[in-house]
Amino acid sequence: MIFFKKLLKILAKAFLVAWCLFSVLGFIWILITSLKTNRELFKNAWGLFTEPQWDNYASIWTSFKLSRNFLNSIYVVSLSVIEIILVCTPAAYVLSRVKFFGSRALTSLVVFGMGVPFQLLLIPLYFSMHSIGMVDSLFGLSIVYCALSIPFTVFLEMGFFRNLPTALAEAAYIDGSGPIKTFLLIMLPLGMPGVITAAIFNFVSLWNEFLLALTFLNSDTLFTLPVGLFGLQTSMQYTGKWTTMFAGFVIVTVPTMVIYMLLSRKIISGLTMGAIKE
Amino acid sequence: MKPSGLRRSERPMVWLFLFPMTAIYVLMFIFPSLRAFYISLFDWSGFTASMRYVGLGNFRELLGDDYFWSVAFVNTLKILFIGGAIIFAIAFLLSGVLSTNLRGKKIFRAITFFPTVLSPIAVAILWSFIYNDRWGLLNSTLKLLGQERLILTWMAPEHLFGSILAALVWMNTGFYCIILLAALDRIPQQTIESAYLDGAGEMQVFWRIKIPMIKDILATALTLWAINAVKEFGLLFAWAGGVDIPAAGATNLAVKMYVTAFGRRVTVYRMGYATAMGIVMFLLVALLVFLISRAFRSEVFEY
Amino acid sequence: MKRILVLLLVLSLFAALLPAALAEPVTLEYACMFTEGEPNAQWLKDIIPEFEAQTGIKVDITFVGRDVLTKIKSRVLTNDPPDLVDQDHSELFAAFLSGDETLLTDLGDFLKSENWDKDGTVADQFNMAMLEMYAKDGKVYIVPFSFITSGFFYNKNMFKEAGVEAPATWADFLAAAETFKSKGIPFIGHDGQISFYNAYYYYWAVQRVMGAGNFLRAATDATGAAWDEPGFLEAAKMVFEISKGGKDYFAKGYEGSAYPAGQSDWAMDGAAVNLNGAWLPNEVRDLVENWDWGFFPFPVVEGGQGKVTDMEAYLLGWAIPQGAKHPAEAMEFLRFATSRANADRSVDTTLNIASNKLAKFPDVHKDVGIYLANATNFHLSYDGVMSKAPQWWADVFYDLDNKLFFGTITPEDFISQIKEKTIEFYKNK
Repeated sequence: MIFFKKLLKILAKAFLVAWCLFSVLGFIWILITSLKTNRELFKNAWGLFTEPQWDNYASIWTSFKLSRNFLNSIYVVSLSVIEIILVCTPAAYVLSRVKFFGSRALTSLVVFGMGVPFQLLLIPLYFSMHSIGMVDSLFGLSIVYCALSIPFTVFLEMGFFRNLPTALAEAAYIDGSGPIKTFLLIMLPLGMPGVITAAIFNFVSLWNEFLLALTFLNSDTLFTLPVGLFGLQTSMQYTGKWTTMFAGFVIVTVPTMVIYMLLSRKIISGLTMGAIKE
Repeated sequence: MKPSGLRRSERPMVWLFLFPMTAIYVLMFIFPSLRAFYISLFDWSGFTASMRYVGLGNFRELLGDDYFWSVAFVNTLKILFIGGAIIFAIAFLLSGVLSTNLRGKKIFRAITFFPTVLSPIAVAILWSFIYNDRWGLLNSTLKLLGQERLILTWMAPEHLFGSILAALVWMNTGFYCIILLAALDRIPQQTIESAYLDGAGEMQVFWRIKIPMIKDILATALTLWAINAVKEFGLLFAWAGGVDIPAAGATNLAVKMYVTAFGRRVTVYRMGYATAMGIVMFLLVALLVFLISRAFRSEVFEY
Repeated sequence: MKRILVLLLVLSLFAALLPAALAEPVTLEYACMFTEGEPNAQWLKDIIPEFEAQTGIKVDITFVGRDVLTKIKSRVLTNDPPDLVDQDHSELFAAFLSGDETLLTDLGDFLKSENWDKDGTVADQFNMAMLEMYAKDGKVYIVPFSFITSGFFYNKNMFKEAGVEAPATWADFLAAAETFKSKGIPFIGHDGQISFYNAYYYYWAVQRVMGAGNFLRAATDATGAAWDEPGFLEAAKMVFEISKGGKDYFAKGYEGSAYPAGQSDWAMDGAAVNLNGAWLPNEVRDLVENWDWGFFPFPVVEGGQGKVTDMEAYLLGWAIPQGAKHPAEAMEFLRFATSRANADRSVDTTLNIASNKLAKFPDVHKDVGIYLANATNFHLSYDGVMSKAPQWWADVFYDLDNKLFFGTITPEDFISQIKEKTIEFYKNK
């Protein structure tokens, strides 16, 4: 039995190593490919380059505005996340802790929004945004992102607030602080891990958002990273410059990976702390 | 804790806290959603101002749309359930190993997460090189191992969906693995050890101790998967290089809806009909979210 | 103090705006189907500054990419369209002209006006028969910049080595395929993951057996009766014969080849021919080493209605959406961009065939040029089925055609199933 258990553990470990090895090799392959010539790629897809083609990177950098796209993405995603948190956190708090007429209905309404595919909203939403003159602006896009992120964020944060101990809040009431003060000084700090988790989840999903950005932004100076990357893909494949496209992938992936690695630790701590029970 | 009733002093807070969210949500989400439902009652290209009212015609047509149900809908269900089962099985396995005292734990965690941040376009290209019939990584490896009989044309129509599903699993597992890991990390070590001392087997500990203790996070993870699985779009769409509408093996509800609304070289442009498809997607996700929240209800509400 | 400041600010604003308002510098908004880095985008970036210098009209171009129509859709609906948009003619037609409403500006008068080179009208520069294929109620709304056709591109060296001539008839084609096969060289390189590449074969076979217009007729025949005509079965037999289910003249694994593996392999001597659009040289130019480009159209069939002088015209062009704020200036730009000198430059930069028939011809396409010079009739790509019956094409045709093309159903099954599914499809509408 013990032998069997050990074997199982070794197998599981081996699987983890194989899984990770595969991912690492995947990335190394992308890296190597980005330094090859096209002929080398299609002649010997898994081989090394004879001479690194740094030109692939140079030509991407000069003919595409990836750095601009990158800054736009950082700006619009950060702004959206701030808006989302400011708008959703108080609402999630109230919905999870106070029962009032219509609270259940409102909660269901918000939660069921998670099921709406946003492709559905594309055209009607465009009309709404157009009527308030918010098209082709990063701020306008951030509002759209905020609106579409409400259901999931509220759902997530409600889970966190619901799990917070009541004793502290009750004590605060008895001490005579008002409900808003109780929220700001006691409950919000306790619920912070939930807020952080929500922020990270939204950051991750908005960072890769493509369709809305493509629809709501008209000027290429405002394009976000996914839109820029998509343009790069079309451009490279219609001209057969596949290895240059891989250079683009590397340029886009590396900073994103760094951001995500920093954040993934936050995700872990956020989720862990948020779920501690009384 | 159960939600408490409204106290008089809380009234201003309720209004103040709910107003911004409700206002934005109603104006920018509910209103456009209702408008979308309205659009589904029309035959409309999306380009002209004139829309032809067809009542429930789009839904009637959708019910009889063989391709929609037998290809797009079935593929979505397969991604959801088969893909989901594999993803969560692997995620549990990996997170189980990762939650032990492993050397290089942090690096392994980061690598596990890595495919999640890749552009779906890059993933599609990477895997199409793996599956290439003659010099692809998979067939070359099989040849090396002397397993010639296993060599297949992996992206031929009959295998395409399965092959894409494998790529989809690879791309998504890391994300759910990290979430489960966070949950597993917080289970007190003593609880598990005492269970082992009581003679519980690996399986028993998993089902009786670990799963119940991470139920709330598991519910969130499953909800996330249900939503993402139904809306999965990028990888399937990128599979055809973004130049053509995806083949049957790469078509799910989200892809079908997109190409019906906006075309992709094939100029379908049927906003009303596509919106009806979107409503089917909505109903599917709503049903799943409802079922998951039901299944985990006791855990979520009883504190 | 504050008031004075505000007053000053307002005044200075006026001062800044006033001369601008008087001079009325027009800025054209141009939503473009290309993305930065593509040769076509480069061409536009080259000529736009010259246009601005010569006319004083500013051009604000956005390189949107192939999704340009989806992207401007909402702007068209809110009556705030860009002044100029480009895409292939079928997509423009399907989006803006196919409904009851006409959403583009009539270019009839513009075509009759004098061209930039002042040696005739704008219309004189084009083969008007091509433009009229995309006319609505006899009016032309789209002006092309590139002409693209489809046919077999081949490696002349390989043909020479094998002692094979470019085949003119289907029998020649099969013989050539057999010669290559006997030498162990794959004949056709192909990426089977792209359904519209697969569709080239059946569509061309129908064109050659039955002539233009029949495929579209069958695709839109709600009774399905058209599919009983023997020509459709004959065309299916042709496709099946060369497929994996028949004699298999394709490079191995074509049914699962992801774009661009098959065409790249072909470009590096892996196969002899590739049936594709004339964009192909651009896509593989980096891979081709020391070989001569050859082109021959889809072979004609003995006793068939289609002739070698029937040519496919797939056009990329410009249109001015209705409601555009500066239609006159947009036309001025079109006049400039279609001039002979600028068309020549587009050929140099893009290797594509310019729509201006007086422009020079790209070297890689010199064989295409020979056939184009002799062409007497033009038809739409895919006989117009893709753009005129798009949903049938996507839901009914693609799946069955892929099966036929990969040789997993017989020609007879193909016909009976397509008939049945076509009837079902239209009944459900």
